[in-house]
Amino acid sequence: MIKKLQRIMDVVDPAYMVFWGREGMMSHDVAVRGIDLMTREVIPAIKAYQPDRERGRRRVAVET
Amino acid sequence: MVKEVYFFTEMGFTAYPQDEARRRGYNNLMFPNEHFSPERARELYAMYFDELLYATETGFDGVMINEHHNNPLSMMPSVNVIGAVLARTTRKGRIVFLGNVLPIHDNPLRVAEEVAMIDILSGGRVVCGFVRGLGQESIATNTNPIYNRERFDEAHDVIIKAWTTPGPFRWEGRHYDYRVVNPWIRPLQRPHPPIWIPGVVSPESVRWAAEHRYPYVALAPPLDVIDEIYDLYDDVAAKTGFTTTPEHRGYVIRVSVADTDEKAYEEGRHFFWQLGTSFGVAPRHWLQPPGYVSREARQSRREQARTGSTNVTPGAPASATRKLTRRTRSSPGAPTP
Repeated sequence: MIKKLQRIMDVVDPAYMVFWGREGMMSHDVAVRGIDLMTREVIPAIKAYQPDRERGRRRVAVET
Repeated sequence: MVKEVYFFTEMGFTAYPQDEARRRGYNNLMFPNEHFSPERARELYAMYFDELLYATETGFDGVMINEHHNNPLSMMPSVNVIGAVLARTTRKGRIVFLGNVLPIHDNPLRVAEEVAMIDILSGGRVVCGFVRGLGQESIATNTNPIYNRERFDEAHDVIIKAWTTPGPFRWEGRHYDYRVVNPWIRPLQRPHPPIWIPGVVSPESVRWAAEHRYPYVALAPPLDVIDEIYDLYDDVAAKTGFTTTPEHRGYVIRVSVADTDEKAYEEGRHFFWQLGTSFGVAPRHWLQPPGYVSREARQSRREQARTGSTNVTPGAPASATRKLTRRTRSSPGAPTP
């Protein structure tokens, strides 16, 4: 999960990200647990990550 | 580097009969509103607002909200009403409006006044986004889609001038006329709240955002399309006279996080809760009525990508990348996993 988001950051290098984090019939408990995991583990990891936009572009070019 | 992360939900009205939508072949605009239940909506609003509040209290930098009409996809037909509630129920975090659907308003000064009110009520926490809206929005509000772009431009100009130029003054435009522009309530943030422009389809919107030096927030397009979007933004920025930074770029992505990969994949299916789609099913001429989309936009890769875009990032926080990528590609158009 975190690595996947870091790959995206390598391509976009955004200052702002929006996590579309709950939808459909997802239960309230599952949504809240997801928020907990995002705030405790995912967000700190991606804020600490230094993106490399050139590396990300090269990777996308190879993969597409 | 990522400076801020926001939480978003469409606030879907999940209690409508999908079998009826499947039988009709559509689930919005003309889908009978007898299938709406105010009682059920009250429960759903309470749950969604609790989750948004929880997100702001536990580590998100704020929440994003938006607006759709005639659509069970979203119970937010007024982004400003949702924003006003959040202004008084949340204590911290920005409230990111993505955004007010400008072309459907016959009185954009009302938007200027309402956003200014919410900015004050929230203590200056508003990020003000402007959008053109889906084609259904034009039909639902009986506004001519041919003038959608023009009305967007002029409504934006009216609002910005109302926020930045001392009144009273007169406005005589192509779509809006005011004998007196002099709104008493003005934003707390000066000269006005930050403005972000979200989008995914239209090159004109990317170009317009860059010309105005507004951050462009890409709404979950595939990665191979991102280069095209931000290359265009960078080119226009250079011609406009500035160099882009990460502060000019935003990205919205569906994220399904759980304690295990299996659980995250399972829950990720909920993003495609409407007949197997994320945004619902409708005839193409509702989504893009004649005149709404330029030929350039229609032919762009972004448009092609939008119709097929189903990317979700599911997984446990530390799950492997290769597996996710392979599985995503192996089932295009299906709910990822």
